[in-house]
Amino acid sequence: MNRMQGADLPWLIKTYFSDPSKRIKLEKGEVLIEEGGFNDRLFLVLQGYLKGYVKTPDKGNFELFQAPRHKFVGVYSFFSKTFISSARVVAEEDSEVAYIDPNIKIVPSDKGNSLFEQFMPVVVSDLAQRQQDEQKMGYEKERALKKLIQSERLASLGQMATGIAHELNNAIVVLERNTHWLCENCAQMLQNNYLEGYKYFRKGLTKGRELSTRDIRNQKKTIKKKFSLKEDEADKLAVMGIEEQSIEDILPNNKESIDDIYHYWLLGISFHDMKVAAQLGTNVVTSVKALGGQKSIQKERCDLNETIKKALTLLSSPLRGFQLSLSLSDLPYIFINKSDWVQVWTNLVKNSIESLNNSDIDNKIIEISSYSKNNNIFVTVQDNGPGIPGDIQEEIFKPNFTTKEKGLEFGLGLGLVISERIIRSYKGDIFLDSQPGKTIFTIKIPT
Amino acid sequence: MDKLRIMCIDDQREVLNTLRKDLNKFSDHCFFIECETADEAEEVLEEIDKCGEYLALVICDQVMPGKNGVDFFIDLNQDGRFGHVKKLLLTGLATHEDTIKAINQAHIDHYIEKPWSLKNFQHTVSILLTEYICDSGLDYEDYIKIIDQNTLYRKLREG
Repeated sequence: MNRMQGADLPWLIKTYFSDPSKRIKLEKGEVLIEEGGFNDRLFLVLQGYLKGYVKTPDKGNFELFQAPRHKFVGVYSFFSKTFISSARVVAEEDSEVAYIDPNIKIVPSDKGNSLFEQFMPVVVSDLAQRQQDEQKMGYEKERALKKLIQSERLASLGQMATGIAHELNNAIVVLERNTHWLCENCAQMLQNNYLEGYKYFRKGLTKGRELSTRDIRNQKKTIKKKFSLKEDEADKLAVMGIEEQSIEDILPNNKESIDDIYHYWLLGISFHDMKVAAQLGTNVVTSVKALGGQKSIQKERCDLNETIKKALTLLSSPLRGFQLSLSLSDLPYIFINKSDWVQVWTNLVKNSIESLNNSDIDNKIIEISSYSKNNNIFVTVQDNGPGIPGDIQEEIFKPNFTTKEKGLEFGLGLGLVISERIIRSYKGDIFLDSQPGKTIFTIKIPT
Repeated sequence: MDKLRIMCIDDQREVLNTLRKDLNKFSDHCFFIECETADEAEEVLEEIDKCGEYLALVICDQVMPGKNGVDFFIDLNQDGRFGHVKKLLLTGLATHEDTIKAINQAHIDHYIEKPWSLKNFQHTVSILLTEYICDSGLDYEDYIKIIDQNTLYRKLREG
């Protein structure tokens, strides 16, 4: 189409649009024709840039077409002979147009002896171009709309999560404080009345369950044989993690004494586990709150490592089964909004988790390190996943780019984009170095 | 009387501690076996088979590092040596897909959501143990203290 246009356009310009008396100069913002107004001219843009608008039902302006240099304007009204303009044509910058009207003297050519025949190739190609542009615009608008819906959904999820976190926090506080109180009182009572029991209560309370199930089974077998114990007696002593020398002290008594100390130990680990659970709950809640994007939170001076730990708490469930190696050096305090950075680390680590989960690597390793050098803080997030192929390394920071296929995730391909924006807002930078078995995101933040 | 065995698989020690306490009322008739992963449980299954012990019930978490609960149960279900063992899935996070698999392929006997209620949990365990005792032809009179009466009557009626 363009070739055809190229062949005819110079001739048309020379023949019909060279009359200096039929030219109009437009200043930026000036209207050439009004929508629905009378127009019997066909314009050619000689210089500048025009756009056509139509009114929308809600009194807005919808951009119908663009007309840069050497494009025609008024095609519909001129050739359909309605002489009514379908759009309001405005100069987007200082422009100049030339025009013809129905009285123009026709110059015969090999294309034919009517204006219609002579103009047809260029006009059709113009219209086709306009249509293509329109389609593209429509497609982009749809994409933008989808993205908007997604980010709104994310935002409302964030707000909801913050609300739920707040409610949960209140519940956890009550449980945590009461656990603490009960525990102190039990300890006091036992200490005053039954020191032997207190000893095992204390052991359970301070250390929790120390041995793995495998170690417990092995220990059970050993002591069962060595002290000729019954299976359930050996089991209780093993799970408590009582050393063999101490067993000799307990044994001269009878079975009741094993049951007895086991009971006090259970009491102790119950408080221990409740405290651990309350702490975990509190950590999750504060992390969710931080992530919930309370943007009004003032920036504060703090340790960036703290935000890394918060993010890891949030991800502790998906991180199960991963080998996590942390090497966080002392960092200078920086002035930040913590929730921003919790979000950055969460996104990056989640990326690694997903990449590793989609691979068949057995030993899944994620390494996070932080250090400061030359007035900059560096944080690296590394995984041994299959890596990001070279041809999509550029793409991953673009919205809606995602490699996720299914699952419970509500990731929408915005993670890295958001991370990058946050990092840039702190004048920082993010670098990617990826090959199979070693993918490193390095984040640089000026102090 | 031969003591039965109840196996608990969960990667969180705090949960194992809790199960231990909640199952204590069965301790005169049952031994507990605890495992932190499905792989470990599979090793222990070999030992149980070797010693010819009565594995009556397996209580397993769904989300664990390595093999998940449903996949573990699918393998256990196909293992002819443990035909009568009862399978209880105890989980706070199973997708719709997991659940369908648990029913269709793993043929689990019961599904309990975390957090569980003590009464409901103990009742379920009691029902499942009773079914095991009847299915494997043990003398229920030996276990009368932990048996669920209704399940026993039903089983006896069924013959």
